[in-house]
Amino acid sequence: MGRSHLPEGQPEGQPEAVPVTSPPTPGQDDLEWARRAQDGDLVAFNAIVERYQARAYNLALRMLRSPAAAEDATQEAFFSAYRHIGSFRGGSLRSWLLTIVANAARDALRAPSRRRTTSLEAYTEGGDPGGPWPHPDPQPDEQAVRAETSRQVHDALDRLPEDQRLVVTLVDLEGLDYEEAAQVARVPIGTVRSRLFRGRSRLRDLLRPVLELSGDLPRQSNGGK
Amino acid sequence: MRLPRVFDRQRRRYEELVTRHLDGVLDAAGEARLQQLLDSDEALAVEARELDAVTALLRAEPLVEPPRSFALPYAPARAPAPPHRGPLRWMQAATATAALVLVTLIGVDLVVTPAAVSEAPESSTATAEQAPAASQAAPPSSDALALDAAVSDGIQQRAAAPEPEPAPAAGRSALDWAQFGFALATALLALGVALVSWRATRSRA
Repeated sequence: MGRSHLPEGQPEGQPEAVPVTSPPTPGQDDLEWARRAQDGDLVAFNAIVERYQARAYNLALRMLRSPAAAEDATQEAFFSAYRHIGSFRGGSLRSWLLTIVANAARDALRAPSRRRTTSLEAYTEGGDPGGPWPHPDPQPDEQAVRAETSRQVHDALDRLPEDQRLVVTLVDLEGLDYEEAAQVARVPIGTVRSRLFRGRSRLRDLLRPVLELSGDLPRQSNGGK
Repeated sequence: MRLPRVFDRQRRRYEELVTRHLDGVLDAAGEARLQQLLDSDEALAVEARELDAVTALLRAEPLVEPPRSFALPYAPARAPAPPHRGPLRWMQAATATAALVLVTLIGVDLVVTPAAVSEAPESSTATAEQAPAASQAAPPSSDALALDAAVSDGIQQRAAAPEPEPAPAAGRSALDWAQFGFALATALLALGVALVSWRATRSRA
């Protein structure tokens, strides 16, 4: 794969979200970090970790629906990534890393002893120190509304079938394009699109009250489509 | 009620167009086609607006902040370099090819051999039946007498020899089919192993 396919900085079309990691150092792109990590430079590898750990953790969280299990899977994925960094042959480092995270999450899902079904309510109820969704607006009322919206969005995501939840997470929350999402989900691009449509349609039904409340949808008396 | 197939196609087309539109990767021609669909069907237009709102809601969601840093405190041992798989891949390909050749040869043998076996008795019988008729039709010359004697000897030898039984032929055919099945299974197994190995190599890469 050629260098021209490497991502440069934040990809276009990325959802605007509050940054939770430091921005990448100018001039040091993924390929350079990866090359140095392949030479055994742990500092370079940890720069990659710092850059992608939020995305990795969020993907694991969405797949496993448990903060503790997601934490374990993310850490395991980064260890695995370091051990196998020699097999990275270029292309999208983000896709490569998220593929490892998805594999680690799948392994966790398959392991009965590690299967956890803890709800994300622990996060929304203040179970996480510092709060899970850092919003810049400190206004208590608005923050409460946003937190409630987030809780409903994440609850709705959790109710999607696993295959749809994965592609919706990858494309709409992680900002991957179809090709990257197909690589991580290990399905053809056409399947990514069809799962996206079905997942979004299901979310539309599940989130109808939220959307009506926010004024994005007209209120319906029957509450369904 | 099941919709006619043409509506299924139109529906799938709409789903692909609206998905691409929501992700900002629909070209101008696609946008025009989608707009045409939405203009012609109010229900689709409503659905597209709702999907747009859902997508916007999802994309407004900030990432959950990780509870801690996942930076590695130490450099774990590197995985051993993957073995050089070139020779193994060639051996797998060679095995698959050899198995396919074996299947082909046995298949050809199965198709050709029964025909040859079934033709042989018919031709010998025909020769034996035609020989007396020929000897009755023409006056015997010295050559004809010699030929007649040779044919008679041949008939006698055949009569002395045991006639080919159909049962052994059927038994051999069953054996051939068993060989063919075994070879086919081997070929499929070899191909499967080669395919799985190739896919694993690609996914690791």
